[in-house]
Amino acid sequence: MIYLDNAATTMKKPARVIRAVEDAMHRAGNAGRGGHGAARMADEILFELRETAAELFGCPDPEHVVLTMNATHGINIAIHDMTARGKRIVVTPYEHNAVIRPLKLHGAEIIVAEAAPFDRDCLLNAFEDHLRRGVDGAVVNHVSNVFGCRQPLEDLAALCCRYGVPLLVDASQSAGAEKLDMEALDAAYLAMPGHKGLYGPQGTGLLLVRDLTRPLMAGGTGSNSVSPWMPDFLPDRLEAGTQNLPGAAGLLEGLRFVRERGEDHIRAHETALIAETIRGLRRIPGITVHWPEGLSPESGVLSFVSSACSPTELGEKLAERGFALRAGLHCAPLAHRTHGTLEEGTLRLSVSAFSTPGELSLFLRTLRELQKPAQAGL
Amino acid sequence: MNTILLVCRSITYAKRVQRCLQGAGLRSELVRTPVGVASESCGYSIRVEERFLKKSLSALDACGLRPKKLLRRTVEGYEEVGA
Repeated sequence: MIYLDNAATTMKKPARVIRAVEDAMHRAGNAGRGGHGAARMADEILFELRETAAELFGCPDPEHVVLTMNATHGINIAIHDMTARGKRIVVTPYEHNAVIRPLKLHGAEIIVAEAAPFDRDCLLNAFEDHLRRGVDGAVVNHVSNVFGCRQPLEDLAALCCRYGVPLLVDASQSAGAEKLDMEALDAAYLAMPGHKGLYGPQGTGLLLVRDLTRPLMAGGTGSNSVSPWMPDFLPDRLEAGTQNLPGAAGLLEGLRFVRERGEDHIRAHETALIAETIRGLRRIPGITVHWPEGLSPESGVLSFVSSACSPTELGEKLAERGFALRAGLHCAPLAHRTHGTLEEGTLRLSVSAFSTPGELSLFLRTLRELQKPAQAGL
Repeated sequence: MNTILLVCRSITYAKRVQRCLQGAGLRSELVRTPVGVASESCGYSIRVEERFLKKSLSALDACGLRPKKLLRRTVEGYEEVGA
């Protein structure tokens, strides 16, 4: 199979990630729950993970690195905290359901900073307009999981600072391929999955928080056990119950892989592949690429459609020929509404550090073959 | 050899304390805080030799870290000591 669904999860992981998971399953105990060697090993893994993540994402204190199940879990914690202080929340027009649904669940008034596709100035103006009128929080999807466009995060974060509005950054598609500095952004929350661009196992994620945050769940933490309340310090306050230690061990190796290879290098590799793919797709009659002419790709994600069949049908035909892409709305109807593709969605192709030019050449050749009957009017 | 427990609020804080002391070239050991000697219970402490306590506290101060309390082992149990 040629795997081009890395925006869903990076299926191919560095070998060291898999080895670390297996080793932890054999040898690691329950972190923060014992004084014996197996528990100590678990403690060390979690601490190294927090230290490495803090260093990689500009978080001044490893205690502010919270382990989560995925990005959605981290976003839920952040929104639970954010909406306790106020319900008017401004968002970009690219937010995923991981943001929209928790906001709905907490009764938030969702204010979309409406902007034309790929128009950053328009987005900045709309965002500032809502900040000026008064909001209680802001959420920014850094890179769209559908169209691969990068929002002007630094400028949006600066606006939030100017208006004193807490910012949640959803770095689901950017962590690992973009340099992120939480302190420089002065973001209140930075949420990311462990299993996408950080190359960890599924079931892992990270939430970095600037301040003490309201817990979403309560339970045992291995600390301050006589109290019936969650501890008033991080990360224990936000981490109830046993951690996914094998997952954390794998994620730690994933972070080390990203650190060694470098986010800039990974991003350059992925955007070069997407640029070449865009050129190839534009040469195939009946294919429409959802990326503007003349603009360089900004991530490893790309959406396109065919005039011959629906994205779902085309995705199925490609799957029969051994190509894994994702069709549909990608859990982001707001992004599709913004781009006018809500009715049928798109077919999404997404690459990783392990994708190769040869794989994409083969994909383009196969797609050209699939389009031929349509071109012939069959 | 007399030892002192540097009582920490959490395992993560204890690991930070241990890393800081390691960085200063000071030997220490991560241990469970004995139940009953610290009000919060189920915590972790860093054990250091008493003769290195002053150096340890200076190093922690430089790292911006402060243990919750300091405990000395005695024949009767533990007694709190001032920094």
